[in-house]
Amino acid sequence: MDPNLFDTLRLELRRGSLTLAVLAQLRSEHYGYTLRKALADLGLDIDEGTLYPLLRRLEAQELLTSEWREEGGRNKRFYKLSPDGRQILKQLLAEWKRINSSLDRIV
Amino acid sequence: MDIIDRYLAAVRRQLPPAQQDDIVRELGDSLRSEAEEREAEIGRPLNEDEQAALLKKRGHPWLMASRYLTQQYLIGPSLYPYYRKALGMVVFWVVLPIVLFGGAIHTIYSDASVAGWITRVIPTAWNGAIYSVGIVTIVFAILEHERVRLNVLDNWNPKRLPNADDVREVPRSESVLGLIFTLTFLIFWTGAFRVPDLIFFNSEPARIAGGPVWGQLYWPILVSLIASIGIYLIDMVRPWRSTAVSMADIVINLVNLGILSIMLRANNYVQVQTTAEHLEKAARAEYFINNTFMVTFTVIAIITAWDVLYEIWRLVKSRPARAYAL
Repeated sequence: MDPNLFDTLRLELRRGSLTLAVLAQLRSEHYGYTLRKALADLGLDIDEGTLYPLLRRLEAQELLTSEWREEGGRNKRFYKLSPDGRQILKQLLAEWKRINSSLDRIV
Repeated sequence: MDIIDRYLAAVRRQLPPAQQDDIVRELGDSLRSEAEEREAEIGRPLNEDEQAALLKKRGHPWLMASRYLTQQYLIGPSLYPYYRKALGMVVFWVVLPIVLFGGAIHTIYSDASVAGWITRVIPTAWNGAIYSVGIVTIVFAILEHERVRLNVLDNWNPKRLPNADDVREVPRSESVLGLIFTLTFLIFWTGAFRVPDLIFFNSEPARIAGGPVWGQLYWPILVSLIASIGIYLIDMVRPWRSTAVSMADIVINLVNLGILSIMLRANNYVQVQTTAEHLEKAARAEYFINNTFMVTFTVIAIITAWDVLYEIWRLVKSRPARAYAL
């Protein structure tokens, strides 16, 4: 068996879940570092190389809005869910619950 | 400038100019926030080793920057299997003939030593391989780009797929191979690529000049090549030939047969030019090459005539009214 197989499959499994987690966490405003910490505190580690490109993609898709503001003597970029993002998050959560419930029955 | 600044500068260099400031500012804030948090925990500034460890976790600056870039393919996953197949065919149909034919000429008429092979034949085959791989890659890169633009694989209608035994289908591998060979020959024909020296007498390369027939047929051959490229491109996008494409293919092949009949009537395809002392050897080499051309043209003429008959058979056999389309 390919020794990296588990990592590859795990990555695939995580990919969609991370988007959902980030959108859900951004129901309240965060900047990158605090968002990453908040997710890690809740058990979901995500590195910068994954999180920041994901935030940019979600913003380009108009699911997030962002603004630069100064805090603690440094400029930080704050993100929060846009109205479209809220709508999509609602749909994604419903889908996730459906998948989860199916998986519960399957496994 | 501390180690974090150097890391950020290295990331910046790999990013598109329009996004550099934004990304680096945000990434820098994140790195410094974590460093400050660690410093608050241990009660002192991080030393260089500790900063390096913090950065090492993020990955190489190139890797970090690459994650911000959109994924781009020179040749995407849908074309890649065909690309690999085409490369394999190139090795078989280009490199092997150069080694066999070029090697035979070289060994018989100039130098049969191992050193001669290493210094003359193998570099020629290697150049041919690099050149062919380059052509194949460029063709596929263009196809990848155009496929995205034309959206060919998305706009298709399952109801228009032909029957499994439909004789009008031209296999894509056949179109790809034909396209590559025709393009390669076109580039050679227009003078963009020079045939490398293959014959040496006492290490002096003998010049192989084309006979007058090539000049007479330059334009007909050029037009035929361009028309053939058009047919191959159509076949690749729409592998089920319409009547119009079949007719065009037949006309091109009839023109090719005309060209070949003129070629077969000529018998002086190349002249091996060298100094007076090697004239006898040059004449023997010339005889061998001219005869090889004659045999090759005869084989090509038979194949072309067969293609014309086969295409006519396909036209007659296939259902006439329906136009298939992808």
